[in-house]
This record gives sequence, structure tokens and C-alpha cells, in this order.
Amino acid sequence: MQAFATPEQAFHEALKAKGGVDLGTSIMACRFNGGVVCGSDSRTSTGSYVANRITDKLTQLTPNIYVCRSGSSADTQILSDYVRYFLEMHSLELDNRCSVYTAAHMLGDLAYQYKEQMQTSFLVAGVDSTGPHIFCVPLGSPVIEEPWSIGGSGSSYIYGHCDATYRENMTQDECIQFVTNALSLAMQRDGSSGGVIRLAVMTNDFKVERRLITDPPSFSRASTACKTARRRLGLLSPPALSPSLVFLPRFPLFVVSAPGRAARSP
Amino acid sequence: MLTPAVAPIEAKKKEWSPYTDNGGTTLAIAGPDYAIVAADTRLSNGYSISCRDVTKLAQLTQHCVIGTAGMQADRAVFHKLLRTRVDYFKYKYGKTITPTALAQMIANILYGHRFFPYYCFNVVGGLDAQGHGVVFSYDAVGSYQALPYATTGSGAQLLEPLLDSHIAQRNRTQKNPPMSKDEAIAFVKNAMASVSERDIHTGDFLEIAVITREGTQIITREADGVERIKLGFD
Amino acid sequence: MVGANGESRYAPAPPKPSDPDGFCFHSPHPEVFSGQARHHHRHSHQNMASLKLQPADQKVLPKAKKTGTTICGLICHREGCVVLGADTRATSEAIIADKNCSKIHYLAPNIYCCGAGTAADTEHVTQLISSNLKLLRLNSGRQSRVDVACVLLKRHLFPYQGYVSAALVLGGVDFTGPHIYQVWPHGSTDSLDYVTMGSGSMAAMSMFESRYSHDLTLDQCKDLVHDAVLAGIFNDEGSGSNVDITIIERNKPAQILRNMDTPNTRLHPMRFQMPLKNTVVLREFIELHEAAPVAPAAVPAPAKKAEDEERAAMPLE
Repeated sequence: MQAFATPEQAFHEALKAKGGVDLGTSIMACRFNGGVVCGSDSRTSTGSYVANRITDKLTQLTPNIYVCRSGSSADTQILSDYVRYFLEMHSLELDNRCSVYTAAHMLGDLAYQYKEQMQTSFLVAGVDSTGPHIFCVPLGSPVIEEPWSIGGSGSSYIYGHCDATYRENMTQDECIQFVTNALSLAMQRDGSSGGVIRLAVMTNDFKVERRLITDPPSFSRASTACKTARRRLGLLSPPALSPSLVFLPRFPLFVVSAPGRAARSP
Repeated sequence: MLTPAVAPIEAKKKEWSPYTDNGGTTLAIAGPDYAIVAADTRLSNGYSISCRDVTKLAQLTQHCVIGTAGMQADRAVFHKLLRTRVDYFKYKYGKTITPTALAQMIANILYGHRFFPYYCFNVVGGLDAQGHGVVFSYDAVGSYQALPYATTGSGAQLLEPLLDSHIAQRNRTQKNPPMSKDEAIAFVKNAMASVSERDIHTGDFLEIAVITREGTQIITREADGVERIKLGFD
Repeated sequence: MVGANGESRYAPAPPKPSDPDGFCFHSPHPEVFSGQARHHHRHSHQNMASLKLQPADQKVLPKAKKTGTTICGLICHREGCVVLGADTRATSEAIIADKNCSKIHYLAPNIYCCGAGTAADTEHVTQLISSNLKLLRLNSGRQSRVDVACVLLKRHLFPYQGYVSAALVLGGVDFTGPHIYQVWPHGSTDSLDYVTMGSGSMAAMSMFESRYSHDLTLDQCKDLVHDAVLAGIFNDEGSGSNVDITIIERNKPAQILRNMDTPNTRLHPMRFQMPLKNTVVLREFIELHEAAPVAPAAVPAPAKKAEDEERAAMPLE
């Protein structure tokens, strides 16, 4: 018999062996000067099989708050369903909009209470009377406020990109472009992320816009070559001229030595 | 899967095994002046069908056929080895090996791999010196026995009681005479079709080797010669 | 992970003081969840954990009949209806336990549900939810909604953490339109246009992914579901025998096309001649009892008319 330190650990093991439906995921949220953008890929997988390729991992908790879900599909669905219900009751009692802080901590408390049994990781993003907020509720269920945050298995590929590219006080369009680029990069490197990009844009005037990006910008040489080939075969409509895909880094990443260049120039 | 901050405990990986069971059913019947060895042609892998038309039979001499269920790769190697051993016997002793001697040789080869056995479950059918049908049944490590009929493979448990009832005619007050060759062929088709109805790893086509004094005929088509002998495809 | 004395430190989990009911959400409105709480109390995570963690030699659970299965369903957007399909094979390990079982279960006149996984689980879960939906209909006087059925199913499955192994394709038409849901044993759900489940799901999905479109007519949808189930029947060994299809249209009784295709008929049939009294009788004895009074001839029971009528009448209740 296999020995486990705790029954929870053993239970966890048994759960894993049993095989649930996992959101191997790339999720992201980012603040801009007039609101907040959150986004995710759309892949749900069981092992190597893509169980759902158009998943909506952005769940609306209140009219002004969204949560990006990652981890076990069943666990995150039930937690966000309950939090949505509690928040609706809460806002009725409050007779006002819920704060993002409340939503994040309610989710965090529940996730902490059941952290031995559940595999959940959330990003709570929204706008309230104090402006746009993003809270990260990762695996051990701390609740951390951040100006931008990424999560899911795909996030590890894009920390460097996001560190280098994020700027404060972006405009809405810049922020959308930032999130789209980062998610595309993650989805192209992470095997358990993919599909389309789903976005939710919440602005300080409490408006919400959902967007679907079906043809995410392509960065890798392989996928560009693949798309070119498919376009030649008539399988793909030609893309609109790509906008400036990558922002200028906040600090120079590579220093090109000036003398060498001078020496080669005529 | 999630953030790497708290790495999930590694689920204990299933250990690699050199063996897989590709399923399939074999059947052999010893008649008064004939022997029959039959097998289906499905090659399964888990729940999927890797190939619908793979033979499990090998004719080793003019009067001896082996049928093998178990692992396809081991079967291929094992049949190849047997063929070379049969040839070698002929070069060494100047005559073809008899089915009875071959049966002992197969047991010896299997036991020679006692601690890393071929994943093969064999039946052997042939004619003895008097021209009577003989059948031998094996386990994977070389235990073998001469029997009036034998079956191995994924459908063996289903087939065995049918053979007990219709060939050995157990628990009966009135016994029928032994089946003729043609009756036996019809019975084999029916029995294997029955197995393919209830065993998921058995199906697609049937091959029947009929060994008589004149030699061996491997029947793969229906009597009119047009169609394959079909079993269930689902 | 081994304790200091070299033994496993594992012991069944004592209930945490903060969590007396095992798996129960502490609601600010406990009365709303009292039903849920009771439910969770009986089937807490800790019970499930201790059940699973018995030493291997103590686990003597009987082998359940599994439906290694192909089930699928799709939405016909053009005509606002839903088509569900299933094969009819039930297996226990490699043996086919039932060659013609029915895997499309009734939930409500306008909602049906295909089940894959352990046969007992799919049957009982669908019966339970069907009963709950009927009570809701009687209480509310309204047609059942597909999303309600979906939530009832997932709220039932989640506390069992996948141990109630029912993988379902839920389909139906209500006043909001046609819906197909995929329900996983762990309690997660997806709402999609076309869905497959079971061991033959990949084979069936290959048909859907290559041929599905929003413009398909109902006949084309029916053909597609039929072909998807056939793909499972012929390419997956866990699926086989016949094709069942159920079509649910708005304000019409559901069309239940049981065994609409039977592509696997028996081959090489042969009649065996078994003379009478052919079995050896080893021992014979006769016991005499006093004759019981003869019961009056039973009146044939009336057909289950009410339910049949409800299924036929469909949704305007």
C-alpha cells in the first residue's frame, strides 16, 4: 500500500488518478487608465484530449466583476456559482454594487476553506466605486491585489514578456493589445492552452464589453509559415495588416553595440 | 497545470510493461481424420482496433498449424523462430518434423524463456503417424497437453463450455457420432461468430486451417470463394 | 511519506471543527442551503476519502457493469431542435453484458439525456433528476428547462467527486430554444453545439468536427448523429450493436427512434439439435405440499397510461 502523509494528500492523489477535467489554461487581467481588461484562452482538456475548444473561462460574478478560472473545471465552476449567488444576495442587502475586494475575498475564503480538496486558481477583475481592481487568488488561496496578473499553466511562459512590456496608465486599446499579445504568446507555447482568446473589458462607467478574438496574432516562425501555407491553399482568409504587435520595451532588452554597427556601415 | 508555486504531487506513473495483450481467440479441434485450427483476424489495442486483418495462424509443416493469441509482436517473432527451427530440423535430420515432435519442441522453446516469456497462448493442430487429428494446447511458459479440442485467447472462457457441450458432449444421455470435417467447419464458423458477439476483442474475419492427409488448406473465404468469412465488425 | 517510526502516518481524517458537515458551504443564508447541507452531510469528502483509502486487500467492491459507450448530441440551429444518439452495447470488462441496452434516458417530455460510465450510475442519476424535474413541474406548472436539469445534475454529481461515474450528454428544447450540455462525472459542465462522450467519443467527434455546420437541416443532423454513432460502433471496441436516436423538437412529442439502424446482425447462425431428456438426471425426489387455495384469475394491469400520455402530449403543461 502506498503511504501518504495525510489523507488529504492521498485523496488528492486518488482524485488525480481518477482524472477530472482540467483547465490547463492561460488567463490574464490588466488595469488601464479607465478600467480593466481580463482575458483567457478557450481550451479545456482531459489528459491529451481537448474536451471543449470554445470554453468561456470568464465568469461574470456581478455586472461589474468577472472572474477568470483555472484549475479543475468542476471545482472552479461550483465555487464561482456559489460566489455569484452570495454576491447577488450581498448586493441586495447593500443596495449597491459589490466591491471587487469583497468578491475576491469571498472567493478566497471559500477556496481556502476547501484548499485540501479543490484545485482552483482565480483572477478576480472588476470595477467598483473606487476604480478598477485586480485580485489574484492562486492555489494556496492568498488574495493579492496587483496592477496586472497572469495565471494558469500558460502563464509561466510569459512572465518575462509581461514584465518587460507592461506600462502604467495604458489606454484601453493598448491594454487590450497587451493582453491579446501576452495570451497569444502563452497559447502558442503551452500545450494545454489554445483555441480562441476571450476578453472582457470593464470600464469605469460600469460598462462591460465581451470580445472574441478568433485569429490571435501569430508570433512563432512555425505558425506564421503554417498560416502562409494555409492561406495559399485558400484555407485562411488574409489577415488585416497586423498592428504593431509588440510594444517598445520599458527598458532596452538588448544593447546593440554602436561601434560595430558604425564599422559595418558604409 | 496551475501556477508552479505549489507543485502538485506527482501522480505515480504507471510502470512501463514489455507486454500488451492484443486480444483474439484461437480454436483447434482434433477429428478422426482431420484437424482444424481457427482464429479471428482482429488486432486490438485497449479499446481500439489496430488492424482488422492480421493472421494468427502459421503453417509450420505440411501437416501442422499453430494458432497464437496474446501479443502480436511476440507472436510474429515466435512464429518466425518456429519456422527456422522446423527448417533446421529438416537439414539436420533429413526429414520433416512430426506434429507430435514439434509440439514438444514448442514447449521446450517456451520453457527456455521461463523468466521473460513470449506473451503467446498457442494451440497446435496436426495429424499423427496414424493420420488421426491431434491438438495441443499451451500456456505461455511451456506447459502443454494433448486434447481433443482447445481454445486460447480473449474469448476462450466463452468458447470452452460450448466445446465441452458440443464436442466432448458432456452431461448427455445420447451421444452423437464425431463431427465430419464439413460439419466441424460449419461448427467453427458458428462458434467463432458466437464469441465475436460477446467478446469485444474478437471479430472482423475468420481463418480456418483444415489439415487432412492430403495436406493443409487455409480457408479464408466463404464456400463460393468470393467473400471473406466475416465475424462481427463492431 | 513515512512517519518517524517507519510506519505510514495515514489515519482516517477526523472532521475539522470548522467544518462539521464535511463538505458544506457556509452560507450567509443557511436556510436556503439546508437541503444542500443535509445532502453533503451524508456524502462528505471525508467519507469518500476513507472509502477510497482502505488498504488494497480490503477493497472488495463488485465489478460494475460499464457502458463503454458512444453517445453524442447536437443542436440543429436551422430548425431549433436537438438530436441525441447512442450505441446499445454494455460491457463488463471485455465481455459484452448487454447487446441492446438503451442509453438515452427520459428526463422530461422535452429533455432527454444520454449516459456513459457505470450503467447503474447513469440510470439512477437520470431517474433521480427526472423525478426532481417532475416535482418542479408540478410545483411551478411550467415546462422544465434544460439548464435547470443541467444544474440539478452537476449539483448531484459534484459532492461525489467523480465516484458517481456518470458522463452525460444532456439535450432538450425549452422556451429559450434548443440546448446541448456535456456533464462530466466530477460535476463540470459545458454548453456546446455538438458534444460526444464515452469511450467512442473521439471517433464520433471526428465526424462532428468534419461535418457539423449551423446550416444543417434536421435530416442532415440526423444522418450526422447516425454516422457519428456508427463511427463509435465500428472503431471503438467498447461500443457496438445498434443505433438509437432521439429527436426533440419544440412543441412536439420527442421522436424516440429506438434501434433506428441495426448494422450488426448475427452471422453464421446454426441450429443445434438437442433431443429432449438429453440431460443426465442424478437424483430425483418429490415433496408433497398441501394445495394452496386457487387465486382468482389476475385482471391484466392497466397500461401506464398517465406517463405515456405525458410523454406524448409534450410540453404545454
